[in-house]
Amino acid sequence: MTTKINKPAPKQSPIALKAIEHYLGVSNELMAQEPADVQRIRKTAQAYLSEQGLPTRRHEDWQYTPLSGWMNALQSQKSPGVVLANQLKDHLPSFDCFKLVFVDGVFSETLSDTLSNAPKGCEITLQSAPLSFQPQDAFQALYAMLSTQTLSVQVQPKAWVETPILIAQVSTQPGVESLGMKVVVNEQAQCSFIQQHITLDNSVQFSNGYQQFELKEQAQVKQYVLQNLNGQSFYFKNQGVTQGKQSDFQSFYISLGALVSRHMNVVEMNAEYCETSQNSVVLVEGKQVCDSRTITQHNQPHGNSQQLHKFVLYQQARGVFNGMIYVAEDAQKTNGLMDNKNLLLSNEAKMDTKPQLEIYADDVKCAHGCASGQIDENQLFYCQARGIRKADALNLITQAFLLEPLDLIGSADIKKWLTLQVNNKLASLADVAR
Amino acid sequence: MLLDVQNLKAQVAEDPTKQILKGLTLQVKAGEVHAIMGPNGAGKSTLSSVLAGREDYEVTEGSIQFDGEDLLDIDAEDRARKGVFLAFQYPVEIPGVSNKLFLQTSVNAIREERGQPALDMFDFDEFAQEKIELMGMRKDLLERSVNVGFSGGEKKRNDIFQMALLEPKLCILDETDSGLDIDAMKVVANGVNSLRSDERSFIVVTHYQRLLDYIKPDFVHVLYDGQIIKTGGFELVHELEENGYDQIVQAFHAQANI
Repeated sequence: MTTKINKPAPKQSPIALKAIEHYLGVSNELMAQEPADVQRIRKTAQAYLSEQGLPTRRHEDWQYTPLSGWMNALQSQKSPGVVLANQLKDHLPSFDCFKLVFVDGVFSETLSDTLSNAPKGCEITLQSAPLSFQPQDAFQALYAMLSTQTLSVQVQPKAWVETPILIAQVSTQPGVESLGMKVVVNEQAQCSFIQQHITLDNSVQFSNGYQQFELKEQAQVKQYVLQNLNGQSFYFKNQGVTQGKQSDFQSFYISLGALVSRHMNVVEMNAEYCETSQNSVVLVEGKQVCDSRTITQHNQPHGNSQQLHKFVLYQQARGVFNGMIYVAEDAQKTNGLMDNKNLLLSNEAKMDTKPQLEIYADDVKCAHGCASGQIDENQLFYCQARGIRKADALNLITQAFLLEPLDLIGSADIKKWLTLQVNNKLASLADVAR
Repeated sequence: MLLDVQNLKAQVAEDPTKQILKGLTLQVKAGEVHAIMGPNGAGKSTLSSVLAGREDYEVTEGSIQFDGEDLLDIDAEDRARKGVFLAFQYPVEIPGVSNKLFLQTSVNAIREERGQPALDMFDFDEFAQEKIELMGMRKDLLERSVNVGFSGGEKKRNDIFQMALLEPKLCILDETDSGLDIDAMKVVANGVNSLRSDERSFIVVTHYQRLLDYIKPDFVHVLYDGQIIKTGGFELVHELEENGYDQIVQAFHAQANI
C-alpha cells in the first residue's frame, strides 16, 4: 500500500539491470512449458519489474535494506536434492505436527505427511502455479515470476485444528526458493502454522515467499516463522492478512539466520472487534542485516492490535524495524500498541527503527515506542555482586530481553521449542559478546 | 581479622581529579557489627562500592585484605563468591529475569565456589521457603522480574532476602534504610539481627541512627572527607544524633592544623 505502481522507476544501476535481466531470463525459461493462465501471471509480474525496476537505497522503504549483495549473487531455479528424514530430525520440532516438507522448493512426498490425511477440517492442496495478484513491489513481482509451488490450506467452518501445521522449507543447494501460500480459515475455525526455513549446506539461497491469510468471522490463526537460513542467504517474505469480524491473528517472526532478511506483514482489520498480535525476535551477528516490517490497518471499530519487536545485535549486525499503524476514520475505539526494543551488544552494531502512526479516527488509543540501548552496566554489576560470572550475567540479561515476546505464546510445546532455538544461537554467540 | 582496610585511597575511574577516599583505615573482626556514619559526600557509598568491586572507582593506594586474601586482586563476582555481600542503596531492576531464576543462579554460583552441588528448582524452592518467611516477603515477588515493579521497601527486603540465601561472611549494607518506613525498617533490622553470628560481620552504612537502634552495632565510625575521623561504641550514635557532625569535624580540623 505504500508503494504505488505509477511511481516513476528509479534509475537502475548496472548490477540491478543485470539482476533484472537474469531473473526475466529464469522466468522465461519456466514459462516455456507452462499453460497460458500461468504465463499471464508471470508476464504481468515481468512487466511490473521491467517498468519499476529494483528498489534503490533512495527509496524510503528500502533505505536500510541493502540489496547489492543479493544482486551480486544471482540464483537460478534448482532441481530438488535428496534429503533423508534423519537429516531433519534435529531441525524439526519433536512434538506432534502435520508435516509438510519442501526440499529445494519442491514438495517432498517422502518427508511429508500424506496430504489426504490432513487434520480433520483441513484441506491442503498444492498447485504448480503462483498466486495471481497485482504485485506492489519488486519482490512480489519476483515471486510471481519465479514461484512454481503454491500451498493452499482451507480450514472448514468451526473446525478446531489442534495439531500445528508445519511447513519446513529445506535447501541443499544454491538457488531460488519461492513458495506461495494461501490460507483461508473459515468462520469460527482455529489453526496454527509453524514455518521453518532451513539450509543443510552453506550455499546461497534466494528465498522469496509470498503468502495470504484470510480469516473469516471469529477465525483464529497463530503463526510462527523461524528463519534460520545460513549466513550467506537472502530471505524475503511478503505476507498479507485480511481479517473478518472478531477474528484473531497472532504472528511471531523469529529471525536468526540469513545475510540479509526482510519480513513484511500487512494486516487489514476489515471488520469490527478484530484482534491482531505481531511480534519479532531477532538475533543477528557479524554482517547480518535483519529487517522486520509491519503495516497494521485498522479499518473498522473496536480493533485491538499489539506488537512487540525485539532485536539483539552483535558485532557489526544491523537491525531494521519499520511499523505503521493506520487507523481509518471509521475505526473508532481502536486500541493499537506497537513497541520496538533493541539491545546493541557492540559499538559497531546499528539499528534503524521507524514506528509510525497515522490516525484519522478521533476516539482511539494508540501508542508506539522504541528504545535502543546497550547492556545496562548496573544490571551487570548487580549480578556480579551476587556471584554470577560476567559472561553468564550478560547471557542472562540478553536472554531475558530477547525472549520476552515468546511469553505471549500459549502453546507450551511451541514456546519451549522456539525458546530452545533462540537459546542455542545465543549460546553459540557467548564468546562473541566479550 | 576478617577485613583489614589500610590507608585506602580511591578515585572516580573516569575522573582522576576526584579523589574520594583519602587514606581510610578500617578493621573488622569476625562477628563484629560496624556502623559507618557521615555527612553527604563523605565517601560512604564509595567505600561500599570499592569493597564490592565496582569498576567505577580506581584504588590508587592502600590495601584491602579479606579473610587473608588481597581483595583488590579479585573481580566483583569472585568477591561475592568468597563471601562479600553488598546490599545496594538502589537495588537494580532486571526486566525479564525472574527473581527466582536470579536467586537460584546466584545461590548456585556461591555453592559452586564452596564445592557444594547445585540446587535444582525443587531443592531451591524448599531452601528459599525457609528464608522467605524470615523476611516476611510476599511469595509472588519470587515469580516477578528482579525488582521490577517492587516498592522501595520490597526492593530492600529482597536484597536482605538475598543476603539470607547467600550466607556471606561480610555483609555491607549501603544505606539500606534510606527511604524505608518504620515497618520496612524493622523487617530489615530483624533480617540483619537473625543473620548475626560469630562468623559473620556487618558493615552498616547509614545516615540515620534509627536503624542502628535496632541493630546495635559494636563499633561506630564517622567518615568524613574520605577518612574515618572518629571511632566509638554505640553511644557515639546518640552523640551524633544530638550534636550532629560539626563538633567532630571541627575537632578533626583542629587536630589536623596542629
